[in-house]
Amino acid sequence: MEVTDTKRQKKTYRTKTDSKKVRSKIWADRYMYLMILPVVIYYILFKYWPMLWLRIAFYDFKILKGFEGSKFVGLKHFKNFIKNPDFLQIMWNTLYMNILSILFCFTTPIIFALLLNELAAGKFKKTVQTISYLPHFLSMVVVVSMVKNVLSPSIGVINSMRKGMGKEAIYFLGEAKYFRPIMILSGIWQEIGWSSIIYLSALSGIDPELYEAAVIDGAGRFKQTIYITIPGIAGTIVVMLILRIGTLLSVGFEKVYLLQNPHNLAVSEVISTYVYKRGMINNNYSFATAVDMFNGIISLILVSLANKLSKKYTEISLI
Amino acid sequence: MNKTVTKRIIGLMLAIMILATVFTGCSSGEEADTKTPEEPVDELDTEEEDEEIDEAEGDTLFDETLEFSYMSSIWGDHPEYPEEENVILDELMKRTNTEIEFRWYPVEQYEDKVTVTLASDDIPDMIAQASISTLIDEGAVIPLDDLLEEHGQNILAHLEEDDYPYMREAVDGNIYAVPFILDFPPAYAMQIRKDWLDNVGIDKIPETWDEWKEAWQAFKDEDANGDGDPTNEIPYAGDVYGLLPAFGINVANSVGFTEDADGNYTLMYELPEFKPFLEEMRSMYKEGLLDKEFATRGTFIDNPELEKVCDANLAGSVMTWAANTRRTTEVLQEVDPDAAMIGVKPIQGPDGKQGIPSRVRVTPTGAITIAGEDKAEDIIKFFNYVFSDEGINLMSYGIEGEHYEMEGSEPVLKSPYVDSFEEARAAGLNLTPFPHLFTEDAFMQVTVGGMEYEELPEPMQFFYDALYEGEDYFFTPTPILNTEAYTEKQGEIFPQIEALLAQCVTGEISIDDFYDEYEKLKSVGLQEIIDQGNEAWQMISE
Repeated sequence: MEVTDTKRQKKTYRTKTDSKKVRSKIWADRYMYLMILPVVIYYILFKYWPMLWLRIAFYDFKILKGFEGSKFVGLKHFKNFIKNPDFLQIMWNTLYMNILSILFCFTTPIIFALLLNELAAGKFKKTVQTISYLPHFLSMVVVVSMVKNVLSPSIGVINSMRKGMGKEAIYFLGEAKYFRPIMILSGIWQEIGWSSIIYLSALSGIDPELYEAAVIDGAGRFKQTIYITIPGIAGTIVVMLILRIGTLLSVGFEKVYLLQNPHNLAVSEVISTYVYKRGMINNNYSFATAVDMFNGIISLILVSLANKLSKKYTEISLI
Repeated sequence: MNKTVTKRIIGLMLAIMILATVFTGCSSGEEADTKTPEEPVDELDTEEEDEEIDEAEGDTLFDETLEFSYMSSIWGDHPEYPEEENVILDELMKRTNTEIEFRWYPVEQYEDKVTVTLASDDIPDMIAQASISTLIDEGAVIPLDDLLEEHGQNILAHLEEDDYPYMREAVDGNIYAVPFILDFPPAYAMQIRKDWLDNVGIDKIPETWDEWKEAWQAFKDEDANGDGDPTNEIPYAGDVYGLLPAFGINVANSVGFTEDADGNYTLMYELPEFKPFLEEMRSMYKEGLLDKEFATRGTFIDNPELEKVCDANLAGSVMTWAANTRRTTEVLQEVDPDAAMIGVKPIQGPDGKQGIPSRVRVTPTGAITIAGEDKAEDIIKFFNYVFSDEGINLMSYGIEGEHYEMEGSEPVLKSPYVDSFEEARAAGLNLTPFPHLFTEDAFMQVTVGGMEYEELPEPMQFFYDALYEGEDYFFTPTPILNTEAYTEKQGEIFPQIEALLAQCVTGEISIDDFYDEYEKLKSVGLQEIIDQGNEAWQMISE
């Protein structure tokens, strides 16, 4: 009995001590906690709190009637989405666009960062970096307007050049086969600089002594890149890839919608544009939420799967 | 003060600033969006002035002040009353003994703002410029038919028979909103570059389909714009919908609802005239007479894009807003003083048919919400005053002595209010987000800047002429009825039809393929849209 009491006392004492330690640690780092507080509040308010409203996907939700007055319809909106004759085409368009994006838009910033890393720090490097970041800060409406003007068969620069060479003008946005290349190329132009920042920071973390040792061993620049640089940033690449896989069913809505036209609809209709047309234009929020929820669940499965595979084969993972 | 303390203070300040930014961010939008009324700008506080008010109140519409709130989007030069001065609204409220709490919001994402407002506990008594079918679906607004019958005879007196299909809602045939009426039918005009015709040696303005094709062919083959590049002219610029009336299809949008020969509400694709139209469009596209970008720019698709090619001296002819004649000519004459985009009679199609859409007179504007149901009778009485002769005069010409003078029995707007719509609207005239009737006379006075025809500069004369060139061929476009099926499925079905049409015109698919694919859409909701539309049409046309 006495032994048990002593144990309990010890446990209580340890708990108290631990709790005191935690409190004193929090107090010691109070400014850090204070600084993170806005972010936490932001996530609670704008990311977690709205999740409570996901249940409108199971109702024919009417704003004025609320949940009590709105009709519960179960999986009706999910079924409507899946039964849509264009469902497979829309899913394929979304996936295909993202696969192309991973192949090109995901890899080019890595290559760009590696190339920048090979440049000696100087004005040229800084200028290239600055210029490459600029398109990221342009509004999507401006970017699309630029793309349309550049590619226009009547007033576009590219077609003026073609005409100058005696070739016929091409209506690039009027032919479905050009839609995906336009999306990918403009995406690379917009994001290559900005997306390379994270890889540049990973590159700066590689121990310079490794390069010195490699030079002594007679390794050239290419071998240094293959055996030191790329393995040095592999962790970052894998983490970024896992996160990117989580957005396989999401394509930036604005750009697709603004570039979409009757000529390219067959390849440009993706989940986000479909949800906008079916859900948002008609204020059918229940349907829009159902599709988005479906999207979210698939994305969660994909990202978990990618994380698990990565953990198994590369020992790098998010959690 | 040692370094550690300094760092802590800086850290603390930074944290507070970030925290403050988050909360400011949360609330600033609210502050910016939710405008509360301020005290009247010209508050009168002397006894004399109070007496004047008392005297004036004796003649007002209501003995007890009517108070109601009014939510609307606002754009352009319209003053955001009460933050910005609007003496016409002041006068209107004074005459009627009314106090309106205005809540103005930008046009961008206004529909979202309406949704958020409905979800709040602070629903205004009236909501304007919102999708009325959505408001009905949410149960947020009340029908006004009985109230209009009983207390709104002035409003009803200004509605013409053709206006009712625009005023009545497809779901139940009731009227849900007080209208804004612009009593001025001319709006669009067929337009051609007169200087291009001269350049290619055509003296006569084309009228028949063959004459038009001849002119278009000449624009294409010869360097009509004289820039040395014979390949960049666009003989007919813009969407194909503008050419529909030449084939007897009276449609003025990209959706295509119209009335067939039996008075049924249907889609233009169902009409026998549509096939010959398709054949001609395919042929024009193949011959390079039609705009390559017809599916992405045009009066009924993207007008600013159409204006770009007009300004770039590339468009030979267009069917668009009559005002384009003035704008394009002014832009082009900066480089070439001979440039002239003129308005002409509508094209006479292969079967001799002609037509040009007129302006739709009425726009259902302000709906009374369930929150304003108790005051609905008085609100309708108030708008009945707005539609009385006095009210119309006030909203169209403003206050005598300040905005206009009487010349004989006619009000004549003064400068600067008559100089442009920007000036007129900035003064509170032609307040389109608010239900009223803007007269044809006031519209014309502002349009021509108060001048006589002979005094007008050439581009203005082109505009004036363009407004009336098609007068004998005006048709009122059939409205788009927001039935349940249309509301639910239009977002996915109509873009597919537009895609099929574009593919067919460019020759990617045959005409038979077009109709096959079109028929397939009927099984996924198109037939339901047509059927419900026709049912609603018969109901609201009665």
